[in-house]
Amino acid sequence: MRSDQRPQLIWDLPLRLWHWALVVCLAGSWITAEAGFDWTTTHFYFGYSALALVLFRLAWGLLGTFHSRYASFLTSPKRVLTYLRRPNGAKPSTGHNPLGGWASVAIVVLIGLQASSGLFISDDIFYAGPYNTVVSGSTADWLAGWHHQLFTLIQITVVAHVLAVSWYTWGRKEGLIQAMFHGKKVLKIRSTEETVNEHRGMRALLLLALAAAVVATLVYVAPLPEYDVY
Amino acid sequence: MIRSTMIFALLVSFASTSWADERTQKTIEARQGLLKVVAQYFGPIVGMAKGQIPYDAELIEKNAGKVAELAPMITDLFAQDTSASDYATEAKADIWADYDDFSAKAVTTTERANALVAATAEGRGATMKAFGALGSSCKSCHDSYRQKK
Repeated sequence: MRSDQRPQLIWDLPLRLWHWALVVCLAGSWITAEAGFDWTTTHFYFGYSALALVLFRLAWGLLGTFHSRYASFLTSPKRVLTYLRRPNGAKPSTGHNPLGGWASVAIVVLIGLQASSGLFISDDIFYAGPYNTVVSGSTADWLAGWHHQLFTLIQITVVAHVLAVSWYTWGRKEGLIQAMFHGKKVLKIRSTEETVNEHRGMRALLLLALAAAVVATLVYVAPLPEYDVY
Repeated sequence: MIRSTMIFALLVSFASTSWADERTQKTIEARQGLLKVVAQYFGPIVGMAKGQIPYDAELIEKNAGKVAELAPMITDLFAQDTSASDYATEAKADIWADYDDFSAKAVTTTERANALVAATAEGRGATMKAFGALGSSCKSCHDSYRQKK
């Protein structure tokens, strides 16, 4: 690193807060799923929060700052392949690298599917997602299977993610992990377009409120189950 | 003669396996039906606990009583080991590997359903507490002996 290279802002504050909030939701939903009966309601709230965070991120991919936007990190399959062939020779990426960009979308989609499938399933005793009543019992069972399988896939993805960023941080000394805290990387900015000089905090708050409102409405308007009384 | 004996033996073996299959299938369907009936009586109490339908102590007393009558049938219908059958079931083979524990859990469910009947006389708080205990006894059996989806 040349001494005239100063840390540059890459990740806006909303993106970083979003990332760690998602970590909390994933850890929380895992713990509460294992903790049993009494924690199921808390598990639901972690799931609703994860769903709102996923919606926020999908919107932030269009409305966030440069490196948060799809346009900056979703590249052609050819570039991903080229990158995969010689990741060691590639120049450090400013934001997501060609593979990481797609990986980030994949994990957001996975978590979205996981949270959505939870809306339809039940434990067959007491707890049921708000939309359990709109699907048949066999569909709910099928989705419950997915809810369990997808979580294993998410665990694998998270392990791969942690290994990858550790390699970039300690192997290639690119400071990826630190960057997810303070938002900055020390590198030569290739074009003025890549410079991030704002956080768009107010816009992020509005979008997050909107995402939360969408999820809350979905839960609120869900049809109540009907019970047979003899 | 040898050929016709062989054909006869083959037919008998087919017939006997299909009789055995039918009996297994009937048993499994009866279990599934029983647990659906349990859920049918359990359901409205769930609805009350969640505030989806109005609290009705009398109905809880009645439905919990039905659950207490139905729960002992669980050990009747699960007595036959069907773990070798190919018929689709969520009953794990562990049920018969540890049938004493399985039966003990069914007895607990019966006791807790009866406790819920008694609790309805002591007000809403006690009733819901007893209902939670009944639900967790259902869950303890599902966790150990029901195939995870």
